[in-house]
Amino acid sequence: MSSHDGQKALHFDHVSVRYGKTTAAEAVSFAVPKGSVFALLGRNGAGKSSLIRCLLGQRRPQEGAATIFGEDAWSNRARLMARLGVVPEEPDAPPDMTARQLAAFCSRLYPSWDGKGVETRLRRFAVPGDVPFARLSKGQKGQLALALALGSLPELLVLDDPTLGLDVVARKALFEELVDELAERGTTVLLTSHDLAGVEAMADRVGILKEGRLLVDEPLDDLKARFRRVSFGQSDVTPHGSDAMKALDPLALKQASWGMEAVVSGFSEEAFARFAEAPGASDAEASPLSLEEIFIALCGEEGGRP
Amino acid sequence: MSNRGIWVHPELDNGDLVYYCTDTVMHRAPGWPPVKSRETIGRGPMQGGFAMKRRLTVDPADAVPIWRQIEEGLRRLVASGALARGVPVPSVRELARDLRINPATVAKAYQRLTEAGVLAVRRGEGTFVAADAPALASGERRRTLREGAERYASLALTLGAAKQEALGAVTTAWDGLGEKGGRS
Amino acid sequence: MRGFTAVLSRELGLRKAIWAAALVAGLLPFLLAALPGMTYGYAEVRDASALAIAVGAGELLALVLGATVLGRELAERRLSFDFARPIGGLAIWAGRMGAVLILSLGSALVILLPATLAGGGLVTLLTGATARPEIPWYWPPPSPLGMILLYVLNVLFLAALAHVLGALGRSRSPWLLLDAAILVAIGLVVFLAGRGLYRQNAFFGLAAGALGCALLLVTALLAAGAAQVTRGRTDARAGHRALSATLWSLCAVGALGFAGYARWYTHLSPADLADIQFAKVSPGGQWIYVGGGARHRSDLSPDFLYNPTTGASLRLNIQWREELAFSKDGSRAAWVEGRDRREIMTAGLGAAQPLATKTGIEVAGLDWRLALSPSGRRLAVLSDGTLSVYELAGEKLLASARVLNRNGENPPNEVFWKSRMLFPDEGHVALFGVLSPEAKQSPGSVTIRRFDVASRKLETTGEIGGLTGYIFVTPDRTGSRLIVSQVDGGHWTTSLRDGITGALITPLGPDGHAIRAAFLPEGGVVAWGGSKKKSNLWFYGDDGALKATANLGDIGEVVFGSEPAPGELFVGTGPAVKEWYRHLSLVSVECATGSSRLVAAGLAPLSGTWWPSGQVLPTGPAAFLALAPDGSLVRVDPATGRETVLIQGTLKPKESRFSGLSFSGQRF
Repeated sequence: MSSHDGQKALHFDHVSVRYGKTTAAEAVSFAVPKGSVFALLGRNGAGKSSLIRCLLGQRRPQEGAATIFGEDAWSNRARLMARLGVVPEEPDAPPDMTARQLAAFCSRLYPSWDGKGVETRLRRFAVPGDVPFARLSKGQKGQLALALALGSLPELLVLDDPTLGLDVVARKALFEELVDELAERGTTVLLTSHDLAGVEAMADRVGILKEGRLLVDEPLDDLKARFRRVSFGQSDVTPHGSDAMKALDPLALKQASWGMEAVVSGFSEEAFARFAEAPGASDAEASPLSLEEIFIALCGEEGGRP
Repeated sequence: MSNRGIWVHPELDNGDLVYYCTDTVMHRAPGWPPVKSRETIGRGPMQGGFAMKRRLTVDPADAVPIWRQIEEGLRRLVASGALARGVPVPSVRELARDLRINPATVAKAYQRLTEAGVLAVRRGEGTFVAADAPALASGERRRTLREGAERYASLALTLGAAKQEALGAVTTAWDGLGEKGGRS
Repeated sequence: MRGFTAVLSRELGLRKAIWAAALVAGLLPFLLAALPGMTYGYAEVRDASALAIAVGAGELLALVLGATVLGRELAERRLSFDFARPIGGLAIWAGRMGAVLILSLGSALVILLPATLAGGGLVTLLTGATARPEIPWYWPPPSPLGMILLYVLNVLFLAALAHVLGALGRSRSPWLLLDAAILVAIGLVVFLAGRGLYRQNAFFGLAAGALGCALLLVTALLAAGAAQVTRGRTDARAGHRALSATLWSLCAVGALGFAGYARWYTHLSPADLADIQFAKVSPGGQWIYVGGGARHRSDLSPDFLYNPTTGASLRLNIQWREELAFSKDGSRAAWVEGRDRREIMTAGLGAAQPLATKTGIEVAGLDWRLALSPSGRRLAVLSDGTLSVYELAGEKLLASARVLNRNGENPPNEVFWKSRMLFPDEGHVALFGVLSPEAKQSPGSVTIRRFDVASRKLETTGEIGGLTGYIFVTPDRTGSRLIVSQVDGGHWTTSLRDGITGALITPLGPDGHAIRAAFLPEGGVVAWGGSKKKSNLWFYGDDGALKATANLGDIGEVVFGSEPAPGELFVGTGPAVKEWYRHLSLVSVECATGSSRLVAAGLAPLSGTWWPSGQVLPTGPAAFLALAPDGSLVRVDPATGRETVLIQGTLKPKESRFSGLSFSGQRF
């Protein structure tokens, strides 16, 4: 991160989280610049939720620190939460409170509260105002959480898998809200999601966690630019061993019916051209990978190093 | 100016492409169900909106960055004349909402286009296709044309179409789009 | 504060139904009172049941709400909603705890409301004044504020306990085993400390300690709950850790503090005596047995064997004060310890620091007498109507006999605390049993018995009959002489008698009207009596012949003390006033001439004959010890009258000394 602290909305500084002997996150460091939409990706159990809990000041990391706007999240949680909007993985609230009561409760807590905006959103999401929270559907709970999170006009929005359990229509509505928020207020967003297609369209920066370690932390465009699926016909010389292939930094190489296929993480036109012309590889072709494919290549069963 | 809003038809929203109609440019496409609810989602003279969005699609999964897809798509639309010079383009927010992408991405594309002289910002009015938007450079134009033709030819071959049949389809499509400013 | 009020009002708002329920419950007493077959009056039933329902409902609500509002939400990680808002952790906890308290206590008040409005009875009931003075209220009368505070504390305790137990119960962590182990350990420490206090009858200390422990427990529970919320936040494991750490460290501090308090309370030295109420000097004079009130321990009256010369001491957990026997050579002391199992203890006094040793000999019942043989090797025990003599080395029972009265009954029903036992030589034990006329509707008598250890024979050697009023006997050191006094209607009759047959040697004082009499160390007897204006000391020989008379003049009371030097006598003299024993002055009397001089004002001789008869302490280290009005033990320089304080008493002039001021005399 070249940006200095003032530009960082949040910063994980060598954060390690352990549960007994289980390590949930190991020395994770990354920062999210102000105005950025950062997607933190990982399979279930990769440590996302632990990191988010640290960021929200709900858990104290065993090592390192999570800071928000330059302040330690654990020590200054209550103060920082005034500037944060949170949509938790499993939205929760006192079960007997209705959406209206929850909004009224929240309005007392924040220095600026956009009550009208909350009402509008709830109406748009068709979340009933007088039904206890416990009786709302999963999607409605998420939408209510989002409406409440946006109601405080946050500087930083933390969305922990907000699309989980949402149907297509609700998911679209959520992303539209997010677009509006970004366009209107330039809010910084930290997002985790399993909806990689949605993330791909929204995020400008991606972090990928695997088994508690951060494999990737870079702009989405850069990430996509360096990943390709390379397929080629095999000849006598094993191209895997060739220097040209090594230059492409292959992650996984497998035998396909028509030849060989490799996912490379160090793609460049020049390197590929050298590989295509190198002896041993014939009919080499490079095809782009979606974020989902990159994610699977990194975190799938046989996924490897970045 | 109220009739200059952009109306979205929720039932036509299939989740991946939003159809817009504006009072001034496109009232209703033949065969569309009637507009039921009217919700203003943006304001301003949006003459370019409909035409552009139908032709501008982005694929977030593509290796090409989204901002570059928008930039190239708009360049192509302007160069081909699908977007007339001087017409307004959708606002950053509107396009981002429509494509469900990060507004910063759209802004980046618009900024690059503005810097390149394709788009022009009129203070307080919005962004417009520049009156003197440069045409596609001949080299790129040729290359784009060739790539498109290759893709189409490959598709036609896969479908087992004869060359004449394929060319006929091109002609028909050409004529269909011609009205919108294509050079017949 | 914004967070606290928001959480508080939210939690209250979610439970508005409780108020309505409380109001309905408040009408219940009216229904109850109207039920047929009630033995008490309508208003009484109504008020009493309203009070009972209110108290019960408040406690129940505290438990239920404590477990749900805090415990459940925490366990189900529902607090993450609050933690994602700008609300301090303490406010999240305090808001909820505040709501629990307001709902619990408020409901109790609401339940009381209808009954209070219906009649004033409840107000008087609550403020502790009984509505009907003829019905006795319990004692001590309740302090309304104290009761209300106690109830608030109780509700607080229940809510915090429910929260902590609920949170612990739901965590289902293996660490619960550790929690349980710590609880047991802390419980054990508290139990042992409490038992230590209980065993010494330190009930005030026990009550104060228990109150302190209760306050600390409530504090610990509250702090643990708060720590769980503020430090554990939404993390169940961290919450459990924070809860346990806070709870157990505070409880441990409390338990150790209580243990320390109990130790401090019960581990005393003679220096802690604030008010010496009692003293008995060993025959050699090196050791004194002192007892009295202890500083800052209002309900403890510790007893010590204390050596004023060296400062050495031995704490005695003696059961009946005063019942400590010295051997004639001063080498050994014996007494009884134990609350439920009463065992005879002995200590050799030859060592610089004596050690209490169990003899394994138990006494039965509540009355017993001990006597050590002159050498200290044998012990005579009179208990439960049986006289037993033991060889202390090896704890061997040498002989025993049942003590029978004239009619052959056992026990003989003699007045125990007035009877005397003496071990004049290694082979014999003398018993002087007093049968009080107030015990039976017949004249009182003194029965003199001798027990021969070798032949195991208990013989009645003499009897003095026809006594009336209160009867007191004192034998001399060998048991060959006996002073018998009786006071009947303020009229004293005192005589010197033969210690075996009880035959009269001489009446003491003119016509035998001496009020006090004591044996002198060199033989002979001193007696005091006379009129208010003119009181005399009379000195008699062993044969009963009057040898000298000393006129003390206008003296109301006299106690005999010690001999600072042979032929000289310390007496305490004072006016005949209430609590006269606090207004004595130390006076030295020349036995031969009867001339007297004031040694020190305000002092009483340590081993005074508070009893009507006794023995004058021989010349020795203890002869110059005296008690000051403030309860101090002092040593007096006989020449200058200067006092050296050995144990500082803190009795204030207005405070009454222990009402049963020792009539110790010198008996062994």
